[in-house]
Amino acid sequence: MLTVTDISYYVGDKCLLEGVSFELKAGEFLAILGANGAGKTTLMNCLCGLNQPSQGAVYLNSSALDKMSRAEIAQQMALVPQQQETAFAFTALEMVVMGRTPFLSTFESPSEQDIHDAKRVMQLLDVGGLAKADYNRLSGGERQLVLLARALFQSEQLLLLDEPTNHLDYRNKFQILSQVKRSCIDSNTAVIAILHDPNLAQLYADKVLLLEHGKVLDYGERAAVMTSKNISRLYGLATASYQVASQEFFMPQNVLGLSQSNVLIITGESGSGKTTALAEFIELCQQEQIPLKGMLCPGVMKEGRRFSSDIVDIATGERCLFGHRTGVLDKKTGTRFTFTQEGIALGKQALDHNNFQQGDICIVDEIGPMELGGQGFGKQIAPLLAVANSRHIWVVRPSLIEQVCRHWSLHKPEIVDVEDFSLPEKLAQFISAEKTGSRTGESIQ
Amino acid sequence: MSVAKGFSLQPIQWTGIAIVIGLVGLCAGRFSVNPGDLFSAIQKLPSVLSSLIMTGQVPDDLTQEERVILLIRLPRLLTALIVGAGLAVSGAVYQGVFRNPLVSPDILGVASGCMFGAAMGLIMPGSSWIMVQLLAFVCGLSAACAAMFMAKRFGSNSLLLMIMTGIIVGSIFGAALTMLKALADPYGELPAIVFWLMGSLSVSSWSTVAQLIIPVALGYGLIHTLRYRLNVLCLGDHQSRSLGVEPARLRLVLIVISSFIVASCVATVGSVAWIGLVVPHMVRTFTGANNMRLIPISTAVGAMFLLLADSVARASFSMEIPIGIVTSLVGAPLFAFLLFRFRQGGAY
Repeated sequence: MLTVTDISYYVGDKCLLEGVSFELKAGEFLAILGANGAGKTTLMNCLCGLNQPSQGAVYLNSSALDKMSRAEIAQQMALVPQQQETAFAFTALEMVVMGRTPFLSTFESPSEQDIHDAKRVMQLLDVGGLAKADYNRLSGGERQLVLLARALFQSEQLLLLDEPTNHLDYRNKFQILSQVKRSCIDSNTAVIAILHDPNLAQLYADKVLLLEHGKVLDYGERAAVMTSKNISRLYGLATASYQVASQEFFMPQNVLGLSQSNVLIITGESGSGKTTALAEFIELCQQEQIPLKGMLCPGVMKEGRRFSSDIVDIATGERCLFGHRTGVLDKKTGTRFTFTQEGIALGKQALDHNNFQQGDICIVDEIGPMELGGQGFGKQIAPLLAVANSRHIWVVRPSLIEQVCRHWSLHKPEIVDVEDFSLPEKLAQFISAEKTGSRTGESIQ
Repeated sequence: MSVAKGFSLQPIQWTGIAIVIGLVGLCAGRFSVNPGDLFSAIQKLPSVLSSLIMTGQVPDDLTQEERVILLIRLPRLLTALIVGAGLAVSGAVYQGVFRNPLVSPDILGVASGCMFGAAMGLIMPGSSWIMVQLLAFVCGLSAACAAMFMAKRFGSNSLLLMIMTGIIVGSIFGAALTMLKALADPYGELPAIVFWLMGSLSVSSWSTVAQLIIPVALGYGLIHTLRYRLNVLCLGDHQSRSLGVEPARLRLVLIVISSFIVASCVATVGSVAWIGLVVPHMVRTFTGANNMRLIPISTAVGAMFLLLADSVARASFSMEIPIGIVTSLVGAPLFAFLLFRFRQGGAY
């Protein structure tokens, strides 16, 4: 039905989409999930031919989209836009009848038969009674149903839904998506929907595409893609999964009250020995064969400031140069450091959530302004918090503790000053304690 | 699409109303005419028209009443109908294209251009009435083209930008018109310019009808066939494209046709206020937003509105008041009444 091969979309030098590929068959429901600004609407516009991809191609029923006329595309693909007021008050029936437009010549207008057919589609969606009502005076849910009726009247082959549940109440949200799903099943309609709620994707989608900063974070069958680690990574929010009547759902950990005791923060001013203390602790754990994961940044100090820094993957012991001070403020990172590609890659490897299992202990040295701004290793943190029964030891400077707690929704984490002589003891307690209260990421019946 | 709001009249009823208003228009005026004269004059219409077309001469056997009816009032009545229809349909199209019920046909500076062109024609040495109309028409179309060209050069297809460039062009032509007025001879040229700017159908003749009927009828014919597409355009560019309609091309076609109609009308009778703005507005409150009905009904109402206004202008006072004043005086309170009446259930 629809094949998307490696499409990229640039506006000037700015890359809004990069290397997006997927395939959709008749009757399948694909949900596109992503944070605000991830490129979901740009992707949707490329799919319906409103944006021409800079690279790659979109094939609709084996025909390249850029070789098809606007009407040919519209005959096979219908868009359900975000519902909004129109400039003039058309009736609901007039709105639905406009779905016939791609099949009419330039000077043609819809026939009585078209109006009759449009009424029939409205009746199927239980909005037949609204035919004569002003579209602008309908409720959000009714408008969305009218737009859905127009789309189904236009084409039952492929529906594109742009955030169809926006501004809808609890009942209407499910009503709209149930109607769409029914169309998938009854009429073999293929559906692509941008959704904001992962749980709606869980309920209705067959396939899921996760979009992060214009790139595909993951794509595939729903069960394989919809994991708490992926959702945590996508939204930068530690997420736990829970089950209701054999269906898995997702909820932020902090909402479920699951993140109280799984983070220990080591704090202290620059040069106070935080990394040294952690290095000693790691050595001790290795002697006692306690597995640790994560990354450490031992540095060289000059005049009381960090001059350069290495990075160590604690699990594998790999080490390389991470960065050095340049003295010039880098506007992109907000630091006076320049970082090596090799160092960044090693850090990402050390904090890759795919390498973590239930109960692992993760060390992050350190979480700074870059991570708070979503740069550096900021995106790696939330999925690590989502690992079931995991524990985390973070290095954070005192001035940032409050921000870090707020950013990752930490509730009363254990905070230990590096100059506190009981630090080794507290660390030992932290990694050996039974974490019955921190069932992060595990299923709740 | 025969999906309609409550209010509707059949074509036969529209024709009946038009005939009554037409008869009122023919009888109204300082020179009294009785229905008998009217009947005999209408009978002679074919022979008068054929004589005018073939020889350019008026038959000699006409009475004074028949001359008034056939050579003055009937062409004036037809001019009023055509201009009213043209301005109203252009207003309806502009409002649909710009997706704004407050848009008037002057949004791209067409009327400003026409007024400047006419003023230039009036102060040019050795200029004729034909030259005035030609210059008005050319300058009106040039203004619209300049506004669209500027919007295109600015690299955006946005409606807002086109409205802005329309304001720019309108201001430039407005300033140029003021300059011409300042330069004009205050005893001869200036009053002519001012009177022309106020709009008048007093110059109407059969040749006026002939020069108006072709552009307005042709333009209306094209708009009539594209009126369903205008509905789609009203939904915005994004939805238009998703429904298989290329909005930029359709918009350009509709703007060019409407500007052509407006330039023809304003170049012939001067500036006639309110019709292009109020009539589509007024009709929309009765018929709904659907252009399948709005376009033809606005055209009919616009035609009759201007004819009635002209009849009032001719017959109410001992001197003829400019038509623009009557349309404003009648249109504005009517518009206010409609807004009040439909404030809870309006169609916009």
